[in-house]
Amino acid sequence: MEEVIRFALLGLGIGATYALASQGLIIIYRGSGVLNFALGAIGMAGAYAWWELTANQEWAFLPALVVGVAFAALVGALVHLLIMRPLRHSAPLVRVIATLGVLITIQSIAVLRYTATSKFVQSDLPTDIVTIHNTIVISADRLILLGIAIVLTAGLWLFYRHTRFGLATTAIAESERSASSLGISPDRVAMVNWALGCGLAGLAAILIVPIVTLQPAVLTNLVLAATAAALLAGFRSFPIALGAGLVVGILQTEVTRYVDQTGVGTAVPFLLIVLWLVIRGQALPLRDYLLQRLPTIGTGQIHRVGLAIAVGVGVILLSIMSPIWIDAVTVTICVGVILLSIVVLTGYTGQLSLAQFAFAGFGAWVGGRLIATTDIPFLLGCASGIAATIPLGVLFGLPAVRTRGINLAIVTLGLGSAIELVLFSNTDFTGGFGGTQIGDPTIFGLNVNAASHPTRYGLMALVGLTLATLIVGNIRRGRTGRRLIAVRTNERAAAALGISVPAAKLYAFAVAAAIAGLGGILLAFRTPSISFAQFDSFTSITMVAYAMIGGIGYLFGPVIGATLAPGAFSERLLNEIDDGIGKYIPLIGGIALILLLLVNQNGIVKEQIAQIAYLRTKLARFLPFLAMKEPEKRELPAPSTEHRVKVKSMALEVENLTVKYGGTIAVDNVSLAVRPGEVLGLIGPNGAGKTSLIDAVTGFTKASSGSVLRLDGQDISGWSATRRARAGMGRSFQSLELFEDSTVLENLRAASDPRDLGSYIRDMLWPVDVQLGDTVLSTIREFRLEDDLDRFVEDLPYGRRRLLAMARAVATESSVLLLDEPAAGLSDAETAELAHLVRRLAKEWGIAVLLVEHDMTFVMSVCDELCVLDFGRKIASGAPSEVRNDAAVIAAYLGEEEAAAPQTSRPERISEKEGA
Amino acid sequence: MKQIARRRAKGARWPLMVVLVLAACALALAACGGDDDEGDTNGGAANAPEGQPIVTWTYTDVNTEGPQYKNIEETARIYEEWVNSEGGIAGRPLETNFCDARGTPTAVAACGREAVAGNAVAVVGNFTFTGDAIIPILEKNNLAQWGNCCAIAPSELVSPISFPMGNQPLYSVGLVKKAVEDGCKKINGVIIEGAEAFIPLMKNAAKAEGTSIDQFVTLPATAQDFAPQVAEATSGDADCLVMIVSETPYIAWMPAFAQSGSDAVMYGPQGNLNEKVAEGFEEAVEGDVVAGMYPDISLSQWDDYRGALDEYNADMSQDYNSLGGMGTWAAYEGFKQVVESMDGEINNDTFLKAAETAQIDLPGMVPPLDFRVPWSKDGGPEGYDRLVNRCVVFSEFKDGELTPLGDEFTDVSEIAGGTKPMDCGPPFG
Repeated sequence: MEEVIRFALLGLGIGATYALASQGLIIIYRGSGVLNFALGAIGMAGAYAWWELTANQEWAFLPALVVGVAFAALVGALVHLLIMRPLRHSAPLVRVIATLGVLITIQSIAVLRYTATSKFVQSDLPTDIVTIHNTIVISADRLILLGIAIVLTAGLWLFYRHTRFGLATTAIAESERSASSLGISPDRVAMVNWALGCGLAGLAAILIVPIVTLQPAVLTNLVLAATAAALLAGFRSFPIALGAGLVVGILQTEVTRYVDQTGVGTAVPFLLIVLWLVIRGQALPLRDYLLQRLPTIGTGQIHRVGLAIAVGVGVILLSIMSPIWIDAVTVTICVGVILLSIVVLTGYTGQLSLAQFAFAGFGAWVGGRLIATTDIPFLLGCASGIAATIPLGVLFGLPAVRTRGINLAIVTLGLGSAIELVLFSNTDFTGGFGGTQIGDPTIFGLNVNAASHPTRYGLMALVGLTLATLIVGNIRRGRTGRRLIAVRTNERAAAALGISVPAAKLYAFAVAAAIAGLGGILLAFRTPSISFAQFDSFTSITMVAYAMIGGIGYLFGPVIGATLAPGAFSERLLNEIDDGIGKYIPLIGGIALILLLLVNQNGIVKEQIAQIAYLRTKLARFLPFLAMKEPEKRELPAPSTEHRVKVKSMALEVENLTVKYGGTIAVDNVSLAVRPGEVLGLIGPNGAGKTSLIDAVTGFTKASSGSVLRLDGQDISGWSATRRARAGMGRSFQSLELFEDSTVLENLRAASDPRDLGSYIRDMLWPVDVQLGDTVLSTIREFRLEDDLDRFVEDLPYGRRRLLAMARAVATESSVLLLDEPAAGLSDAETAELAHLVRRLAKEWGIAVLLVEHDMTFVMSVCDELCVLDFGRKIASGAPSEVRNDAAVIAAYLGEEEAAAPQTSRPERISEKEGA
Repeated sequence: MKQIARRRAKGARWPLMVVLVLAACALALAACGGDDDEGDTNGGAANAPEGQPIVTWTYTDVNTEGPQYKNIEETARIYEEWVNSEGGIAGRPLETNFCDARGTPTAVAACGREAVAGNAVAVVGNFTFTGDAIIPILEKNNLAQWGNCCAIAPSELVSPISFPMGNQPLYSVGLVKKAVEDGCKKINGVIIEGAEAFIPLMKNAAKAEGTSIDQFVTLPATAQDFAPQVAEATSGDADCLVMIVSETPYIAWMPAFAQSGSDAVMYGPQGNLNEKVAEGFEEAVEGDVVAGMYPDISLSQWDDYRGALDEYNADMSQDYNSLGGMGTWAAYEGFKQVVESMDGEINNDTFLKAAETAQIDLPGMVPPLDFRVPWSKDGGPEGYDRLVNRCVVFSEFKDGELTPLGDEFTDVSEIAGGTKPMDCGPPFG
């Protein structure tokens, strides 16, 4: 036991460093919503500034400390001002990658200036030995560091809790828009927080470099581990981060001491991250989940002639170039395959994974070990490696079911790091001293050893890239692609259409893992002895950066991005220009990444597509065959029946529905029923619980026990949102939640596509669009969307978007339709037209409609019956004519006193109040 | 609305401009930091070499986040200047080319292809952790990898084109042998992550010496607070630590070790447990032992090397009393001996043929080396064919400085799994 306590105390030193680093992460995240991967590098810059002054200029510790901290703070403020501020409306992915650009840039400058070797720095803190109970020995500086961490935590807690600035930061973290309306400048607050966070990182760095040595990358590694502490603290609480940092440090030390397996101890923080997020995550985002603009995606169309030319050029180059150039092109191709996996996962599905290089390494590990230790043929070994990454991809994807955005990025980084530390770095698993030797690989008797036959190997890689590109293009164009894009754009809307969000995510992870596995095999098998050390987690992060640069949503983006990888085309080119330029490549890469993100977040390919289109237009004057083809006018087939579509009749019954958010009761024991062919209006003042009721009925919010929901007589209380949607329950959202970067037709197809699982496999090889069904054809006509089908949603006027949101719900062949404020923001004429439409959907299509709406004129004209909520309770129900004169309803809308006064036109007054 | 958008767009350009200016400054700042001393060549050529240069390639990891060996690059450059000022090799000038392997298999493979494309006679005096990526390329092109100190990749230990002059990985065996000879009662091992393959060798050596190493502590590859690992390594009354740790983690290890107050003697590898690591911890390292391949640079056999370092302005921030420094110098001296023993054309094919039967005699630098017989055919275990040097040399820290321990090489063939001893040559001195 004494030993356990001893190592726990020793773990406090590491824990204190994690705690300090995590505080900096939290400050910046709270102030600007950015997970700053560059924090360690910026702190390190402050430490180097301090070291320059103390070691070279012979400054005293304290003045140099002040300058070092101020320098780090200045760098932080500049990073915000020059990079993060212009990117403040960009996707979280873009901002994370931008911090990566900063990290690479600062670290490269440090390596060039100071080299990557460690420098020992004398501690200015006392290092006397403190003995506890005669046996436990600990250095005083660790205890002082712990004390500093505690004092700083207390200071930060007080500062952010009791100062105007701290409260402003909290307000912005809660709701930037609301804080702005109170006169708080989010930009200024973010900049100060960046300076504070980075200044703190500088302070922490200066204090801990005597322990961990001064080295460009050492603090970046610390920050990755400290992310676990910040995460456990929800990126909010300084005291919890302190405690979490210490716990992580202690756990790491104890595991290292008692688990005799390489890397397990180091992997502790990363495993904690995964565990925590899986426990705490949510299957679907809540209503306030911020939808941000994502990088654009391509159509997935592959021009056969263009592809043939590209492959032909590749073959010729690989056949005539010198081996050194062939290898550069081969590396580009292999990395391109890995980046293609990011296109599927992040580009199409919106899942930010920082583990793609780990998948690549895992594929190479399985394939390599099989080939090295058994008599398995080379191709079969490769196929086994690819197949083995699929379950791993699903395993990594499981947390994605419950987390998203930055949290998911951290989880995948954690899992990838764990694989690197426990598997790739452990010679027990990689073949011991002899390593993993695959010898001379042969395909159908043909030697494809990259050393002796570089052209053959390059051609094999080219075949791999071509096949992977065709598969990804097929996925994009098929209904699988629409499902993935629906999930990427809006998980809630996707679930409301009956798309299984978990299935789509797991599929994307599995396919992406397999593609990455293929890329990893191609990359690693270039040498007969496989190096697994190359598949490190930091490179995994840079892979996403390369994908971003090329174009994360485009099929050709990976090839462009891959040219920037180490050993790939760009590096070779620069080396050919000047031998000495090689050492500047990381710095050039970092700067290029930042500049590209500032000017074009959609990738180089998107720009190239625009330029090619421009060029073709210009050249078409002289070469008419180059002219851009006008899109053919779409002719819709007529519905197969002369009669209007009649949906399957279903009734919705709600009994004793209660919804609680913590201690707040949003819906209190409400019962109602919606019958086919009828419109039930659900009204009530703001905050009455109307949307909560819709969310609970459709499965987006959990109903409390005792609540009973029946669809067509069947109890659906325990069903997921997706299952309810598939059973015939459609809904629209207050905030529309359309798939903005898809066309109108794609939105409708996403709603009406069959949900068979077989298409996930079939689409990879042969994406076939099923004929539009009668329901969707009738919907298009009913909502008069014929001329808008090929328009992107973001280009539609507001009224058309409202109609599309409803049309999309109808296109799912819903029997019960729950409409959440469909008339909001519409003109009087549009509202009148909508009223007719809703009536027709009920009367002619046979749909049971539950309508939440504030426009009382609209409600009164459309609804067969009304149900009124106030503070979550049902206060009245019945025909509109009865409800409008109900005293309780009038009181709820107007207040008790006004309700008591004589009224002549109560519905209008109710309407006015609602409108307010 | 468009006007506002345009104004915003215009307004948004200034950060971009500032970033561009800062980017230029960053490049300039970084460029200022390099220590690329292009030293003037002061040495006058006694007998100026003539004819076509003899071309060699030397590669190692320099621009990398991992361990860097700029001392290898510097030594190759300095040897070229020195040997050309001394009349060259076989009367012809030496042209050394350097290639940065950057610690990645991709870059080192490119180095191999560069050497092939550049018509190199041999690749000389190199070191990288990713040697497996280059050996197949060199094999395919009949290009010898000559004289490297540290054959760390498996293929470097078995490939017929590999001619290591150092004894890697047998210094670890030497460390165990020395610890036992010094009377250590309780030996613990400390291994850097990724070097676990040394453990069986060390365990076997301990067994052969009639003792055992019960506990191995693994150091994480990235520097951090090593206090827990120090506590674990020094636990159980360990009086000696046999360590396979590279320089960078050693630098982080030392403060924690010194603060622990442990009296354990450290046994570490040459070029890693060095004077740079010991700086500031002279008391803690007093009496610690270093095992390696090359006798101390202060000895007379390195007079030319020390003189050349001085004369040709070597970057003195580097450690030349190291495997990288002395290893590269010895490799080039060995290369010179082979070339000067050759008749006729000198190219990669003829050099490889000559190397296969080479017997190297560099007294005091390395033991007599005979490349005619692979170790596996001379009583050695499988997998170490090319290990013709199985002799270890020791140094000791005294007052913070490394001083030679004895004046002869110690053979470790038998405790490393061999059945026959090796002649390590006469004492040097």
